[in-house]
Amino acid sequence: MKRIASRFALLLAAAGILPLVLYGAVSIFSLRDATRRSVISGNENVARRVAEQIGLYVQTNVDILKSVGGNLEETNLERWQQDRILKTAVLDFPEFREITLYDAAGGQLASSRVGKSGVRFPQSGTPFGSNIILSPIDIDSDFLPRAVVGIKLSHVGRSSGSLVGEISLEEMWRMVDRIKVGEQGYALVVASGGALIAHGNPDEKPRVARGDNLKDQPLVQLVHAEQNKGPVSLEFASDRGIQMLGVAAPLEPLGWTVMVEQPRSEAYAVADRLTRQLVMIIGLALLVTVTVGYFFGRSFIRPIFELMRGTAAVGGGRLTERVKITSKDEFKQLGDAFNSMADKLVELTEDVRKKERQAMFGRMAAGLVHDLSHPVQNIGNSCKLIVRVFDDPEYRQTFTRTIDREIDTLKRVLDDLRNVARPAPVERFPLDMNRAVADIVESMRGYADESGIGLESKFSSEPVIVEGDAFALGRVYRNLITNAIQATQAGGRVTVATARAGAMVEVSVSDTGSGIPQERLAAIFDDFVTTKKRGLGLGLAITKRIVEQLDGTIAVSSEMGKGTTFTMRFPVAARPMAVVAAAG
Amino acid sequence: MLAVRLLGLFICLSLPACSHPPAASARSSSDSVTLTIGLPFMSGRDSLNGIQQAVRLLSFEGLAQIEPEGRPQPRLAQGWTVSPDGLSWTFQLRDNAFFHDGSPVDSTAVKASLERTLSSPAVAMSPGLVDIIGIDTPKPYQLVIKLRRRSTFLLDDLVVSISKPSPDGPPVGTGPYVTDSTTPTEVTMKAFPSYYRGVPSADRIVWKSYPTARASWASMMRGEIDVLFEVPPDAFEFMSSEDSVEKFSFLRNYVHGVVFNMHRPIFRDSRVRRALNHAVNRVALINQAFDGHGVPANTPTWPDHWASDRNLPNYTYDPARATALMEEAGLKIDDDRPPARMRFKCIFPTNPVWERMALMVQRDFSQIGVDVQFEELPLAEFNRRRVNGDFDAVLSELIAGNSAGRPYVFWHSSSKQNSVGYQNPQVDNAFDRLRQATDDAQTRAAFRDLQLQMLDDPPGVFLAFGQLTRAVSRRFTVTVVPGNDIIRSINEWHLAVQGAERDSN
Repeated sequence: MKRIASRFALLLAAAGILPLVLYGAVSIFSLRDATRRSVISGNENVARRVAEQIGLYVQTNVDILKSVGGNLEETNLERWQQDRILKTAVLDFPEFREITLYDAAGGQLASSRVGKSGVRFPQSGTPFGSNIILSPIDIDSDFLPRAVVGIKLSHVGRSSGSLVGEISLEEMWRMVDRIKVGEQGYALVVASGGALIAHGNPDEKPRVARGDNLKDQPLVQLVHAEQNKGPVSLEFASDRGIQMLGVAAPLEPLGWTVMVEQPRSEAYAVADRLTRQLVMIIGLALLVTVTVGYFFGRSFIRPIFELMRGTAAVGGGRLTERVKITSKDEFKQLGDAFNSMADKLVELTEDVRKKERQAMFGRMAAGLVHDLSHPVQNIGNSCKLIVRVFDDPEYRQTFTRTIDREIDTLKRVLDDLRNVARPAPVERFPLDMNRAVADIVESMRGYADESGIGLESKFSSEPVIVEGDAFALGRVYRNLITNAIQATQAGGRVTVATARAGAMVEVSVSDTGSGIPQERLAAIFDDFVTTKKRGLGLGLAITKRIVEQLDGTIAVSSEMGKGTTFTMRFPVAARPMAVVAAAG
Repeated sequence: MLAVRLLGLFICLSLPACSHPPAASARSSSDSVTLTIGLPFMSGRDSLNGIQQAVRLLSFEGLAQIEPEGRPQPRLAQGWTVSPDGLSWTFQLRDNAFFHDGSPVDSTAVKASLERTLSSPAVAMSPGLVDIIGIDTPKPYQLVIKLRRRSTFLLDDLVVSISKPSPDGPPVGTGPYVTDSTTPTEVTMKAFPSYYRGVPSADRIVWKSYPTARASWASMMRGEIDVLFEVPPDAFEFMSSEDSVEKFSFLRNYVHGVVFNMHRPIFRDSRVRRALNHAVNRVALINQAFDGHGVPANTPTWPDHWASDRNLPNYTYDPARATALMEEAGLKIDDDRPPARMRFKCIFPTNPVWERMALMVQRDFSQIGVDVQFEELPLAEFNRRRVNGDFDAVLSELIAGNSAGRPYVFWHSSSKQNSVGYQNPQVDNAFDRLRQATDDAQTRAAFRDLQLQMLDDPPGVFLAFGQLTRAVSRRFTVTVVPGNDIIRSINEWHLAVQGAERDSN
């Protein structure tokens, strides 16, 4: 039954669930992969755009300074004019904190500063053309990012000095602050040495103030490993243990890196939401499939189970059981056929029983006729004869013996019939099996001698005491010995033996008779079963019943042409020998 | 010499670092709440100078305090009454106020404190006190001040600290906090448990000094301080995006301006001074120098004063009119280098904001042919030059106060603090009417005349009142009185989440 259900479930899984699950898995994978690519691409664009803006911002400031330099170069302006140009420049372009003009010897010519100039030509940095250099970025004492741009000026082809401007890069902070990806994604800028110089996340700004260096940050290392060729992306755990999606774009020629960081949970929020929806839909579809499959399967399998139940019931003898199949399909026809078959089987069974009863009645009648007709005939003959020879005293004695004997025979037949209907109760007393068997053997020796059969006995040397009923056991032994003598040809031998087998006493009756066919051995202890041509067949049935009443067992073994052995086993009496002896 | 010393005091008080009100905040020790406040100090000055000015606001109190709109309110005094002739003022003192040494703030102690003030040079800054001719103490907590003449300036100047001398230390005050320890860069104050307005919520206040406002900002970003005493104008935008701090802005009662030395002949003609006022683009200046956080100034009077007339025509940025006034005054462009119709020098103490203002003023003046050469000076040198009158003009900030009494000190012709030599009978008349006004109508009329006269005959080019912003960590809940500096209510601040900032040793 379970195998059918299992196979049906497998069929359902293979046909409906598995494709659905596979489809879902493929869809989710495709969705997440596409989303990931899309998010990374979008963030890369943001990082690239920020990098371009910052680069443009720096370039613009350099261009402004170049323009101011152009106003001073080869124009023969007076000192006060140069001074006014510089002062106006820093007012017009607030990114410039200071612009100072130096002569070729390094002497200050003019400055936007009212006080003392504090900016000098950068000794190293990023070249912007042949005459311009941008110093490395640093954070000043006021915690502002700044850089210094130096321009070499020339007059008639000769160096005429330099123009130096200090640029505040606060606008870069504003640019970075304006970048927000989702709710929690921010941009940050890392200088070439790894110094964090801008961070769009307000909560992370203290890191800029602390002068954090990110050269060991995985994304920064990846950018450097890629030699600043283009945007890169990486998923990594932040310092706070949050899984982040980071992309980075190099900012050339400054050597800076613009990064965009976003918590992975937010970056893939759409994909996660769609995945959840897809999982829910697929789960729902699976649920529907399983539910439909379950109920459909149940309606499909239920007739099979019903037929199995009906078959099992009929097979178990409950011939009145019928199957009830309500479906209107082949199973319904099958159920109807099964019920018809069961009806027919009941009819046949009743017919067989009727015939069996008739056969048994015939056999019983025949047995009774046989068992009763002989003594009745003997009594009748004796009665006829006594009328004629009533005066013969010797015959009268013979008549009396004959009548008593035949009356005993009739009585025994009637006792057997009564025992079949209602077994007589047995009594239990300690009983020496050797003695009980010896008494019976001796009482039947005459019958054996008349039949030309040798009756032998073998007794156990050990005490064989049982709790038994001497009268009932005597009947048992008598039945078995009588059967054995009757089943043995003249000149044969019947042996009765006792033995001790552990906690049991074993009594066996063996003959050298014709034996019993194997196919009849199984029913030999049933009522009205006999191997003889005459008799009711109640002897062995009564024998078995008595043995079992005394907690014993009886078994039979037989071989055709060699003989038959009946073996009985009884529990040894629990009482001690002395008590048994006294009781005996 | 007294005049010189008073001038020095004026200069000192007119400087932002000197005049900063108190600040607050930090972390604590031994199961207590500590506020740590970071504030910048003025270049060239002692690093504790600014802190000590701020500390005074939390250590000392006056009988009265002036609200942002200029109305006096009781402080150590519970209230007051004035006689019909205005010459006798009776003050009822609080009977639950104590000095930090535990002694009561009774009439005897207050009288002694006021008499010490009256005998000190600082009284020159208090025109309301100079009219006092006697102080009586009829009852333990009642004080009667007698004046030689009616003066509404008395209450304005009774903000002066009430203190007791200490034989072995600084004067003893009555404020919510007491100075506990001092290092070269820090001052620690502890709460005064007997403060009459209740025990302050924060047990300690630690003041930390920083070289610049931005340096203190960086410190706050690193979480080292709880309060940023002064948010730099250029950091205001960044602060706006900070979720962890809350900003509180108010208009400082200091006016930035270029004040002329009226002893110089070039400034005697009021048309020239008006021309210079029309030449300056105040809005552009505020946008660049204050990042837009300020209001234009046209006179040195407090714009939010209740008696101020806000509908008066102010100076507009009008170079053409300025040029016309210059021409009218007979000032022509010369042939010198650079060509100009007027030349003068202006000194200012080292300060990046003032330098930026100087450049803007210089550019605006140059557009009407005025060549001003600015000179940046260390504070000590600046003060020396200022005291000696060795300047044509000064770029600085002047205290405007919240009352009419403060401008009186600087601009009334009889005031010894009027060191630039400004004299205008109509202005004097307006000041005198303000002093003797008996009702609001008279005060309003006198205040309006004062504004009009100073617009017509300006002693300088007043540029702007700057807005000051303080930033406080959101770990603290701040008591806010609209228009007031939050530091005034610092004794009422408390942790937003009780216990979050408590340390237990």
